[in-house]
Amino acid sequence: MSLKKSMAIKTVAIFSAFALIIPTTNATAAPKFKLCVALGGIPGILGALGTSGDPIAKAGAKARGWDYYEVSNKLDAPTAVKNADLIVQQKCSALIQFNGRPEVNPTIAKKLAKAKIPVITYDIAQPGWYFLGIDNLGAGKAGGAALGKLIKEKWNCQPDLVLESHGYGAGIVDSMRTGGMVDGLKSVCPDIDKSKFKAFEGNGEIAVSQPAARDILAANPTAKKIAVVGLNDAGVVGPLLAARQLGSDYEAMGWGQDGNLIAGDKVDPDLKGSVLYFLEGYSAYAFEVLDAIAKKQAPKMRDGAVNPAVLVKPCPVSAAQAQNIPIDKVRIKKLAKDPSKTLYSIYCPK
Amino acid sequence: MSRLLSNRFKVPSLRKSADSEYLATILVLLGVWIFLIVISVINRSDFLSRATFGAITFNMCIIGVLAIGQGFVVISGGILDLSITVSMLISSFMTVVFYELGWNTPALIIGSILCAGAFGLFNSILVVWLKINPLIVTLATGFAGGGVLLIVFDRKLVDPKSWIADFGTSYLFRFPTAWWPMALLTIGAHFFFKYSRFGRHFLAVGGNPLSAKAMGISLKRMRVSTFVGAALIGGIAGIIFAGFTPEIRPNAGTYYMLPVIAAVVLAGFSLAGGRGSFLALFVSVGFLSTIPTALVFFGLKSIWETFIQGFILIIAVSIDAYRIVKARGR
Repeated sequence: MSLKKSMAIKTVAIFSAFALIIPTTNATAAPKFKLCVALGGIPGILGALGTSGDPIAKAGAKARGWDYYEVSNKLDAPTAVKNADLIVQQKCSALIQFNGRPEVNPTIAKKLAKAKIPVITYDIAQPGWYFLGIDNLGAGKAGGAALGKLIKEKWNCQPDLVLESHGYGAGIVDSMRTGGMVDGLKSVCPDIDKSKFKAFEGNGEIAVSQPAARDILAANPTAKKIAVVGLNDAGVVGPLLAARQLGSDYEAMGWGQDGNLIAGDKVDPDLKGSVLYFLEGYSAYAFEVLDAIAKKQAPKMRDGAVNPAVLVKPCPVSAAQAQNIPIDKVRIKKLAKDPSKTLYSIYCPK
Repeated sequence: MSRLLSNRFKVPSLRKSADSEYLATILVLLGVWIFLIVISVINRSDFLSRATFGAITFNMCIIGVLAIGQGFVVISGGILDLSITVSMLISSFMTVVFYELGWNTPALIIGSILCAGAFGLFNSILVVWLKINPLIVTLATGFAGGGVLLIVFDRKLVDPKSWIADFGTSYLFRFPTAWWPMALLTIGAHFFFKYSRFGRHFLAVGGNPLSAKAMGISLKRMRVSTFVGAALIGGIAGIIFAGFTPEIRPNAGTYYMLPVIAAVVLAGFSLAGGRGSFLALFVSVGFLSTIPTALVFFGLKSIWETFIQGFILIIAVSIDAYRIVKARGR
């Protein structure tokens, strides 16, 4: 090889190396996008709402080459406020937040707004934060319609009583879910008399809904075909048990919400189905907003439960279908491997 | 000493006056209960039905047992056990754990109740040896215990095909099976406190601890027995709770505290200790358990139940306070 040729090759190589280095240098000049997550700290729930980290957000951030930082609000108001300071210190580009002590959210919101950190909040609305949550009205209507089909099939749309196990403390969520279930049921069986619907406070708990339902059943002694809807699975299972307690001549069936008591081998025999929200997979939906923020094209602020930025699709499942859906630990593992999907797309029966 | 002897000398007449007072309380409570039933029947004749009977007797099951445990503490001068629902939940959780481990029924029942008793022992250690006010101790252990249950268990599900679930819905001699432990405990507690020497020691310690000590009764032993006993009874309620509630959660006991305390105070148990009738407690539990059912028959929501129970508690506590002031002035 001649000296000239060798010089030419070296020159090209040096320029090529510069060509490679220059864009990299430019990239490091711009700060890397940093996704932060303030976990909810609810025991027994996986993902962003839970205690043991959010593998979906982490995997999504990794796939995009983002930095990732995670803290836990531990279901504690002072911790959540302290975490807001940490998030600011960390210079996070965006925050996924679930704070089960929303009384301090206005304080946290001020700190984050000052640092210009956009927030995506799960299930608990805060002005100025992108709201991401389950489509409660859709969940209610889907569950109600599924129960309506069963009532039509078994009782020719003629139940003696429809028990509405509300959790009035949940406010609009209860109106949308339990009210939505009534609407869904009526969409299949529109001629059920208004007087057959009995609303009561069940507080979403068996210990409250069961005695309350017993009293209503006692006050309606001729009613034997009992349909139950409610805020969540526990609120529905209570009245189903109440009917069994008061006698074998009752025929009861209910459809729950949240899927908490429909999986596994300990399902109430009268709980015919539920609506799954896949809470552990919420973060798969958050990237819809996060990607836009990362591209400096932040979407229009939609910060209310009735005007959400992202709606999580609910998945109605019968008790039989629920048996084929693996437990949350398995689900979240699978989703973390491919965070471009959602748990709905992977597991919801078609 | 002479005062003590004179007090001892007066015991039979005091017992007689206490008995007549208890009888009066029982009759008044029975009267109010019957009145409630009568106006409910006048309002709607179908109030007298099998379903109503079932609703009321099921309402009585857990509240009744917990009220006996609470009555045990109050009568013995322990003021109140604010952690009795934690004893119940410990037993509920352990019932499911032991069932899943395949324990046979007697071992499961004894094991679950003993676990609740261990919690009572912990309470009593704090009260007796660290000399902390029982109200503060049980308030603290109530919160802490709930927290520990949340960390350890989070929740437990009862197998709907298990005998535990059957127990929560079945009937025995026309009453819910779960009603019988309360009925038997009521009878047992009545005879224990009225006729047994050990039972009367609790009354003595509750009524006047100094006199009881002078009579040779070990206050420490009685205090330990009180909190362990109440927790054991809470443990019995826990097994019933597991039968009623297929999903056991650590916060599930909070709803029982108000009706339980209301039942005890309404039954004439003095918060100062030393007096109370378990037969009156039975009637009190029956009356309070009828209120929510009657409310629904009157077209009111059962949510009013809490308000009414709270109102009754205020009246009953006021009567008790008046009685204490009057007794001191004597």
